[in-house]
Amino acid sequence: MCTDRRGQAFSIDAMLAIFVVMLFMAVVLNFSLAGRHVTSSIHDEKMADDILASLANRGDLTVNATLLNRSLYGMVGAERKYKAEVRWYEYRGGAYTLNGSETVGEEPDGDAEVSVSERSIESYEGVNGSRLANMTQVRLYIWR
Amino acid sequence: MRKGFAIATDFFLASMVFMLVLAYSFYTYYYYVGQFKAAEARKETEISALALTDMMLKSPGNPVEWQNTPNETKAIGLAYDENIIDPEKLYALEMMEYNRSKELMGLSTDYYMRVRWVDGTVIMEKGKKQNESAISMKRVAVYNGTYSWVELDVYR
Repeated sequence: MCTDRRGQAFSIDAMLAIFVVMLFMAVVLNFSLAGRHVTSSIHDEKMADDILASLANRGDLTVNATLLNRSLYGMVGAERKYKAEVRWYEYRGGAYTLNGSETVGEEPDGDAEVSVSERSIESYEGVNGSRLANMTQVRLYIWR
Repeated sequence: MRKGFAIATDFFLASMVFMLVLAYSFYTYYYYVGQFKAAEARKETEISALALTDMMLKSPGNPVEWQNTPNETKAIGLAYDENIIDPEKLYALEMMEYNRSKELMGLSTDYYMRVRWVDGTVIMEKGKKQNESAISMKRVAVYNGTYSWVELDVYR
């Protein structure tokens, strides 16, 4: 305990206690905010997965980057930002050979929480689709 | 100060501060416990709404051709392929009685669902739109060869 010039005492213990309470409140608040964050990222992951499924089903994972970018822009909407990396492989001589790649969208901000989804799509040709021909690999990043 | 009486100003002051801190701590504790419970309940509803939209966009429903026998429907699904909406199933859902659809979706509260193309054209609306707070889900799918949004608001 320390005493000032007028004889009043300031308890270090009391100050310490107040500090502990403030720390406790800060931790609780932090947990509360973190809880909110988790579900929004699940939602974004689902959306990224939906977008890749929709692109694949419509056959829009093409080498045409402008078309891909336009499709993504339409689906993601104004609330989110995106970046997509696409690679096309050709199956030749028993192995996949890189045939081209594209990156569309923008780079995520440093502090953005980014949700990622990946998908590989194989295509076949020949009689009844008997021969493996191509593979498209796509990775989509979404953030708010 | 009279002789023999000690007026412990420090003691009273310390007690006051202590009581204030204690009261504030209790208030904060109960406030955040309340916040936590509300956040947990919200999270649970969000996860249920995500699972519900997943079921709609990834599965054809049960039975698979439930749109032909709406009275025998056990689960609503709108997909004929992953994230591709079957127009017949969507129409069957639109025509279904609201409380029956709510029951099949496993919801105890009201909902509002809207399917629209990404240009904003509304394809289908169902449910009771309310002004109170809702858990909102927005999913992406393909309807009639065009990208669309499936939006679901579940009210609490």
